[in-house]
Amino acid sequence: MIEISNLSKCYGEYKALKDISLSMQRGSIYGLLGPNGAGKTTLISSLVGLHTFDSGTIRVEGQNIKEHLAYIQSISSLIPQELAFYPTLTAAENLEYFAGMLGLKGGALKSRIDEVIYLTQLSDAYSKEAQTYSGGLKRRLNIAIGLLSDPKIIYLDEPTVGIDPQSRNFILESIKKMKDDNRLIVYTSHYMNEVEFLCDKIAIIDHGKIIQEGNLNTILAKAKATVKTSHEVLEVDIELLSDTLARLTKDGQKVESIEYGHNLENYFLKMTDKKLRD
Amino acid sequence: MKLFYALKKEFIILFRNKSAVLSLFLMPAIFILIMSLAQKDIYKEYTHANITYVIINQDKGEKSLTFIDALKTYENLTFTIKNDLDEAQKSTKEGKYKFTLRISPDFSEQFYKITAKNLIDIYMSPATKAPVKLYFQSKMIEKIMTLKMKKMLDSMTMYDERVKASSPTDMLHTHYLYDNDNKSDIPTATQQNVPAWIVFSMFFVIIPISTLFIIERDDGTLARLKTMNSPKSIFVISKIIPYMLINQLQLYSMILVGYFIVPLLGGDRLSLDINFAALFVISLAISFAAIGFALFLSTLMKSIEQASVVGALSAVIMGAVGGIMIPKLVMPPLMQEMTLLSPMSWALEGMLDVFVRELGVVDVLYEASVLVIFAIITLAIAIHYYKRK
Repeated sequence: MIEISNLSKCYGEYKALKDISLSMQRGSIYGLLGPNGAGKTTLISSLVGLHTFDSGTIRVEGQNIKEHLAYIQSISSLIPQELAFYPTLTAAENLEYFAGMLGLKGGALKSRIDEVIYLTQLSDAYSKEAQTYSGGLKRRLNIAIGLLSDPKIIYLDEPTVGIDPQSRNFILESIKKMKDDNRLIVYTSHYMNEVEFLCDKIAIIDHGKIIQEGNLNTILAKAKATVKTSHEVLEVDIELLSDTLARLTKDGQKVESIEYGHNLENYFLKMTDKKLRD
Repeated sequence: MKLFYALKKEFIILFRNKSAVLSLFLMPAIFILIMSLAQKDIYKEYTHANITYVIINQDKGEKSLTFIDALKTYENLTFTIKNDLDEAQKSTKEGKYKFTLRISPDFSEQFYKITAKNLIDIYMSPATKAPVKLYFQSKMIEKIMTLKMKKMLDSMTMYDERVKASSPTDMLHTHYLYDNDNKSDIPTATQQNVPAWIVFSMFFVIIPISTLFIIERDDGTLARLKTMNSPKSIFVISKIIPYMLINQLQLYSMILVGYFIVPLLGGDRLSLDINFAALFVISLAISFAAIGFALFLSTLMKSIEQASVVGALSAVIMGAVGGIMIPKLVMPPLMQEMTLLSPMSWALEGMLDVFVRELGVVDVLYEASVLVIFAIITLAIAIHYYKRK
């Protein structure tokens, strides 16, 4: 559905994206992970036509974005991390405005608004000003606006920031259902447990480069073991496990536990290192 | 239909921000009331004002009595004769009288002599306005000259009764040039202040426009609209139309304030003997310039706080430079030339054409064109700068 080949983008001297190539398919949730400033937002902005890029190609459903931007925008929707709506308008007024901007009108506009209200469970807050909503309600309205166009591709940029566990659970379950309609969901988050719960495939991006890409289960199930002793925690390749255990015994260390497979958070930190990125 | 939804959104947001909208109407109304009442006398001819003064006549001769008799012909200058100079000066200083006129003891003796000097002293409070002082002085000089001329004419053998009958002021007649020939009065403070403060308030839409634009930009709403392939023209037009309407409402509300409320408080009623078509043309041009400048400022500002401060400050500076707060005619020549840099100056000139000079559509087209060009330039810079960012 989305084919990205050798995509590069510079801001002056700074290289935000370096030769990125990715492939994303319908009916899946694709996790885009990376520390702050890694290039995720630049990549998504390029995919929805907010930014131009310097070299490479982006094809969506076989269409080149440079030639068919309007069509690609008509089947895509960006749900930004910011609460991109008008706080002094009600949910109804916000939804009507954005639906109107999408070109919907009359009965079609009303029925689509009803659908997204149902999907995001906004009916109780429908006629209250958005500035009075809780964090969770605001996030749901943000998502509802993004669903108005009934998009085939949805870009969700950290949709669960600053909300309570109930709202988070509702949003995650809703996102999981969205892919059942043969949609492609591109999901970015700093919450690794969310990515593990939702995503079929992930790409880890850092310093503008893809440093790991693949099926989430494959990555997590890679032959690794975490050995915990009374003194340290070691992550070792499975082939080296017996040698490591022998060495630990010889050194007089007591092995407390051995866990097989990766924890995504540990893996992410290992791939992107632990240095602060603010 | 997209424009309908965009306009609906703008109007709802605008009218939910009641305090901001209210301030767009209250601020100019208060200025009009204060300035029209405070400056009521500044724009008035002193022939209409009643000036009271004291005469201390220290002269014992007849000529001073003739002079005092002659002063009685001024209906608007009423005097009281007193003997105590100190007391008269004290009353004048305290504001009970505008002037104290002391006629010196040698007035009659010296009056017709070529060497005559310091025959009359005029005392006044330091707070006396210069035009009032000049008016009073000119009236005293007029009577002195008339008496002197009479003496000269009386001594001439070839005497002409017609000359005797004329006084210097009878020979002069001042006219204000209106299109309406029946009109002759000088414009009142209300007539001068209403257009000035309307212009000032119309430019204050800078603040709500730039504030909302920055919110839309920073919270990702504009980015979202861009990904929806929503035309930029719809966005720009949806910003222009509501604020043009607000400006029109400001204009007619302030006209009502000048017409109904100012007279209730003792000020002069705003004259509506104006060309409304010309008013419509110039007011649309002012709106366009104000909105263009607001969008220009919005793209440059980084935060709402910055936009509010810079927006208000730029409106005040443009007002000060443009002759809103201090009339252009009292500025030194260099400052008068500098007013051309402020769009408010062009706006004010256009409004004065309508309200004070009572001119028509063709006469305001020059100022309107300058304002439209200003709007186009600021809008073009705003769009270009926003695209670049």
